Amino acid sequence: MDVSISMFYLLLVLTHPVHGYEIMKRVEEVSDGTIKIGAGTCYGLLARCVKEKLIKLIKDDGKKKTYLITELGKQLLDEEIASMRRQISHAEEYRGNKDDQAL
Amino acid sequence: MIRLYKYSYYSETRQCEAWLEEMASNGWMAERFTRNLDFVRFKKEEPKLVHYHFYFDDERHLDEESFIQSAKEQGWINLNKNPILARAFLFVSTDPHPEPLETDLIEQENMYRPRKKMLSKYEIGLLIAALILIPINMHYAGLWFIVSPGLWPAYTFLFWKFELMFLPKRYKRFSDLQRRILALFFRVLRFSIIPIWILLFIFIQ
Repeated sequence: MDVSISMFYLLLVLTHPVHGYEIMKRVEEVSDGTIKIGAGTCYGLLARCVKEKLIKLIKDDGKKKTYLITELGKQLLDEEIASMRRQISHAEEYRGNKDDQAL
Repeated sequence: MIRLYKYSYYSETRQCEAWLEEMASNGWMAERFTRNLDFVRFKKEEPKLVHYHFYFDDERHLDEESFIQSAKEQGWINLNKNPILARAFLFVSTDPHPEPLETDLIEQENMYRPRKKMLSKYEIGLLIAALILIPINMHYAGLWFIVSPGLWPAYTFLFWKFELMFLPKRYKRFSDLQRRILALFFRVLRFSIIPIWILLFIFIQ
């Protein structure tokens, strides 16, 4: 499954129980203000992730619904983090080799 | 002033938003909508710079109440209070530079992909119904099967398909007036198809 940047941050913040609007604020905080998720994107993603069992609804008090990542979601998040690490390692390795050659 | 939607909001979403914004900049604020978003009632006010945004939830999985509340906190007010048939929300913001409701192009694409699938399911369902009903109606009604109420699903399918899938593509070539006339014709036809067929059926009997 392809994980977009918005989906990555949503899964990340949902490693702790959070409700809808709070998710949007939390994503902005965690990404140091570089990623902002609009309500349309956030709620669309929540619906899709629930459907694909990546997150689950853990509390519904009528006004606020609180979500938490599932084991499947954690697995996907871990895979994505590992993939990002590999990409960074490849980039650093390649750029290091290029810099050595330039010297 | 009541006006018909100039564009098909379903396939010409951005043009539709731009049209509503243009109307507002000329002092016509969208006030009320029909449930299927066919007609819009405008109220004369001071010209304003506002932004509109359509949001579709065809799969009906959205936590609607929280979503509308969160959008409101971002400065977007939902105008479509009864999104029953269309399940399309129409938001308006009076902020000159509102925070966008949809911030991720990839997710936007993912959201709207199921719309195409839903159309297919609907089409297949109607097509199967039509295929079953045509021979049954032919058997019992002979040539008059054409006006048989049993064929309403087939006719609905044809008009719906023609209006939604075919016309919007052709609209591009038409003038404003032609677009309005065509849109009005198909909307009236869609809503009057059942009464017309009932009358025909009674007349033939």
